[in-house]
Amino acid sequence: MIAFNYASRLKEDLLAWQVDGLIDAHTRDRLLKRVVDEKYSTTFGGIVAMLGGLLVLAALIAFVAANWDQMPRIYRLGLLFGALWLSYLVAWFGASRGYDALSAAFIVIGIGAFGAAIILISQMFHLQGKPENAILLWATGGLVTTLLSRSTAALCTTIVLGSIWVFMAAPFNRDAASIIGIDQFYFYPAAIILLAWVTRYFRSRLAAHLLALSTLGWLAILLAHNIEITHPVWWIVFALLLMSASGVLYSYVGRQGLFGFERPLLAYHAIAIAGIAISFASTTRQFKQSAMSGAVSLSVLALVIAFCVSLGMVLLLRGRNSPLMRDQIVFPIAAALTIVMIACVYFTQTAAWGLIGLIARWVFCFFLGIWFVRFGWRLESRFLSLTGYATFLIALLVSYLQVMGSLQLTALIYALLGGLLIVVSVFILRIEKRSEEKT
Amino acid sequence: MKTAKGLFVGLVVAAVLQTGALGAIIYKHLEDLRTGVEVVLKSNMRDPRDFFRGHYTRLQLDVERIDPKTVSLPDLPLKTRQDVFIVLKPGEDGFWKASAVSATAPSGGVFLKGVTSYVPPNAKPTQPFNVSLPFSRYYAPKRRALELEALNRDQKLGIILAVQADGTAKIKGISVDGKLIHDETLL
Repeated sequence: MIAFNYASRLKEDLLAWQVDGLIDAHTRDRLLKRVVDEKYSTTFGGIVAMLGGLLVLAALIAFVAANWDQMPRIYRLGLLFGALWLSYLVAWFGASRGYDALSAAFIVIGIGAFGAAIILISQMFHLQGKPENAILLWATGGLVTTLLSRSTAALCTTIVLGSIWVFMAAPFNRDAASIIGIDQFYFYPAAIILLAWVTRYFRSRLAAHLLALSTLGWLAILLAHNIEITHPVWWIVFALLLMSASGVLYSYVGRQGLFGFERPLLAYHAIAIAGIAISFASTTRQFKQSAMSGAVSLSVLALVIAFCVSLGMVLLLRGRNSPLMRDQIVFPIAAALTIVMIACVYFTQTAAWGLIGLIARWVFCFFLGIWFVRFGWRLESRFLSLTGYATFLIALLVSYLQVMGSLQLTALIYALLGGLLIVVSVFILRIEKRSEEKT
Repeated sequence: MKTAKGLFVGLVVAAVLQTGALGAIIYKHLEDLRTGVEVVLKSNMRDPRDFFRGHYTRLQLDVERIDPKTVSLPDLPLKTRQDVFIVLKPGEDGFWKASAVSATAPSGGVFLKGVTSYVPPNAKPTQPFNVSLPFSRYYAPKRRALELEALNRDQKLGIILAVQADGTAKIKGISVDGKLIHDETLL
């Protein structure tokens, strides 16, 4: 999809450049042929092979689910073991003949055959274990194949299996499997770190997107399960997100340690930060409870560390005279404002101060959204800008549903904020016009 | 992607490891079936469907319902979701029954490890309660699963287990009106 978007945009740009006399028709055709046609054909062939592989995988699972008892168990098992070995053999054969996409598809089928065999064994022998353990074994097998074949397709399959596992092991499943008394769900960050390391080593953009989405899903389940936010884990997660987002932006300006995945990763960070900030803002009573409990020291400590680290990043960028230094400032400011908000709730007891704290939290969310839009514009990332718009709109919707004090007061706050934004926009537009006139 | 030779070696090693892992599961299961004490528990059966593993009959074992009038309970009061051990003894009708439920593993005899379902905080000592055992599914093709559900209405159905010394167990087959139908071989 990215290739299609890029190709169509490039086609338009090339035509415009030709009209402006920057390139001739021959150069335009050569560029189009190289970027558009070749990219399209390679990607399309790969997609067809991969979709075929997924269909075969689905067929294997359906074969097992059918519980076909006309064939003795040993033959059924042999069929799947055979499929596993044959798939890997064809994958090797395809790769040795230069059919990389076909090879990738057969590696996925091989991993699928391994999973189908696990399911078949548990079905044949009526094994009563927890299904998430079976998926975990399947994902582990996928990881083994990934590491031994260095296949991106295997890595993506493993990440998808890991996501299915963590969803099945989610805390809302009362009988979810555990390790040393702790739900398996809470071990996912370790898997994320391992998979992120492999993804970075493979430099796979698709795997990076899948892993980021999977991590967001895990965070969303964690948030939904702990929606009361009475636990310091939320503040620590928030602080970690601010710190790591700051590091990602620093990498963007510097040596690009994530090989160009910085922009999408900043957008995923924005989604997570906005999600947690909106949840904090919308849970008035629980926010107070958590601030009054022993959680306050841990959460403030985490935020102070986040503040110091991200401020350090600001100073480093200042030393480099980076234009993104001002964008980096958003992270220590967010950490500092959150500390102030916790302090306000902690030290104030009256309802009036509680209302001011609530309004302050929503204003924080609105400005966070605007800041993300600015980030997107500065880094030329539509994804990041869209995240900012979405943050603003969701904050608007949730705050309206929650009502800040009374509907009249809510309306007044919206009007004041709206007026303020219009005034600010006039200033920004004037500055932009002046700089345009100068150039 | 690796070179063709590296990929060949890598994929063969992956296939060997995966085949080995699956073989180990099968071997352990067959060993447990061979060495475990065989007991037959009375059960009701109903037919739902699993997304991955297809049709199965849901087992509702009689021994999971604990009635303090007939079962000895040395470790009262028990809590919700507490690990317990159901001590079994052979019954006159061919099915094994619960004779005691304890919070610690008995030193001998045949027993199954389970978890208590909801137990009210102020439950009377005579109040019946449920223990959940890790056997709830018997997989079968749709036709067979529906047959078992139909048989359930007018015949005595049971499940055959191979019970290990630590209270874990594996399903060996089913019993229909006293006839044992073993379902444990690979062939």
